[in-house]
Amino acid sequence: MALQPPELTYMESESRCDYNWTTGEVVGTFLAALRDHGTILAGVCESCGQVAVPPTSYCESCGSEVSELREVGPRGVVMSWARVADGFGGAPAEAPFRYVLVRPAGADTELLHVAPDDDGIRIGAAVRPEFRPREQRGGAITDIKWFVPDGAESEGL
Amino acid sequence: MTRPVAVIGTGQTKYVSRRDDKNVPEIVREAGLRALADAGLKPSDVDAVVIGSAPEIFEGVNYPEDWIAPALGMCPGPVMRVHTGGTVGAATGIAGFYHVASGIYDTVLAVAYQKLSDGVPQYGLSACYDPLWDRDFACGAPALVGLQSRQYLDRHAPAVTEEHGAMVAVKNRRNALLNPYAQIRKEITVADVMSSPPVAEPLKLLDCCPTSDGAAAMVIVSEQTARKKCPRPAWFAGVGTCSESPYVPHVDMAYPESCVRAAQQAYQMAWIYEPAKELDVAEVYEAFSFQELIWCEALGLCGPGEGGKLIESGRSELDGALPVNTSGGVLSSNPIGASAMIRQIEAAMQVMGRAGEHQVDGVHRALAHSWGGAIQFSTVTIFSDEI
Repeated sequence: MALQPPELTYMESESRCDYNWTTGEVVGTFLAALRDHGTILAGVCESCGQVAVPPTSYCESCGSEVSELREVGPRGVVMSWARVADGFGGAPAEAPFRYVLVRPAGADTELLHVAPDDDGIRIGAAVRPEFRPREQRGGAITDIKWFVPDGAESEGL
Repeated sequence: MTRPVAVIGTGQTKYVSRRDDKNVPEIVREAGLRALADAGLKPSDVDAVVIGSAPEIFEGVNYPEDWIAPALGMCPGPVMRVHTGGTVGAATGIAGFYHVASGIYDTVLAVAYQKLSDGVPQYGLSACYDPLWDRDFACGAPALVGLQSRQYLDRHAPAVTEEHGAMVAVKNRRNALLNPYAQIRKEITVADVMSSPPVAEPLKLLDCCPTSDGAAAMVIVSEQTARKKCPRPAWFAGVGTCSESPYVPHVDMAYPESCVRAAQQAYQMAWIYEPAKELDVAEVYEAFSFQELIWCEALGLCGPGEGGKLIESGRSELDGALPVNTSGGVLSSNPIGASAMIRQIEAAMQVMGRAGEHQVDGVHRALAHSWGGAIQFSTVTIFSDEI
């Protein structure tokens, strides 16, 4: 039989996948601290001393073990931002909003998060986290609603 | 070094936003057969196949190498799939190089593809992030590169501006007019780019790549076969790969260490001391306009902070001293899993003298770069007309 030009061009399908990711002790402690105490914990490398947030049980810089956790922030410095004007499915905030990279005071690394669309969000600006009410927190990075401008420049942070 | 290895044939499909006529194995077959024909070989000459594509979530079919390998006409036979984020296409070519360099195989077909229209691309991109903290932000690619571009612009202001990004887009879209495989073949102006709708500021629509369906392939062979079959092989002169932290913000996105290290490794292997002088063409993976300038700096094709001067000077134009993205770049075609191999294919074609209307005169050494993941994978491949 001769080939036909595709009329039945597509087959549709939908999948939904549920996942249950194991966090490990260090990440689990970090998430619990967000939920229960409204604090941001960083991991301190026992070998090179890097203070990394969010923490991992292994140092991404030198490969050594990390078992010490230390509170950092809450204030931080904006390291970069990108403004999203239009909403999209799964967006982490209502548009317009800004993605931000924030280095909490005392940490050597940055967090990815969101911020309001405010001109106070620019590289070098000081910001602080706004946490959701305790009853809305479930132990996730989104227990922090977003980072908002915290007044003047960030010298000393 | 290793034993000499060369590319002697390449194949591509015309990149489009949606291939309505062929399924995934069929588009890969199209590119594979073209590459074999370009090399003067047949499927039965192939000793092993390496297949690369972005994660399964894009097309929704797990271990697609199962589905695809028989379409290349060499089954039963050795097949391996490779994956390294957006650098996968280049890693596939590099894996093909390793296969032949090892001495175990003589003729390898490396194929890379993506059929983004079969799924929802942004969902696939968002699901690539660390599930424990980055995933919730649905950051996707434009937002990630928006953060990268903002850092780059602020760091070097006023020497680099948004207009410089626009100039990159104008150049590459113009180059695409000479590439029959390119998806977007429409000339634009700086004003068009600057006035296009914002996506993730500072990125505007025309600073961004399209999403594409397409496949690409290279035939990689030993010296013996290269000398027999090809008048001007593209020899692998240098290869470098590097990966750093997967957590988005732990990388200096405006000058990534993985890119610097991959370049160093490749330059050392290729005995290149002054890349800006010794290279004749460069293909860099500029999914978004500012990235072309960022990569050129990190690759040492110009100094840090000099990306603006580079694009203004005309040096990276098709008729300049060091043309960059003669193919039209990722800004013109982006079948993700294949995009990094397309950079290698363009670099190889330039050395082989098979780049048609976008052929640059007197190419001896060409570089192909790629980035991937959360800007933490980098690869650099250098082809030369001599070993």
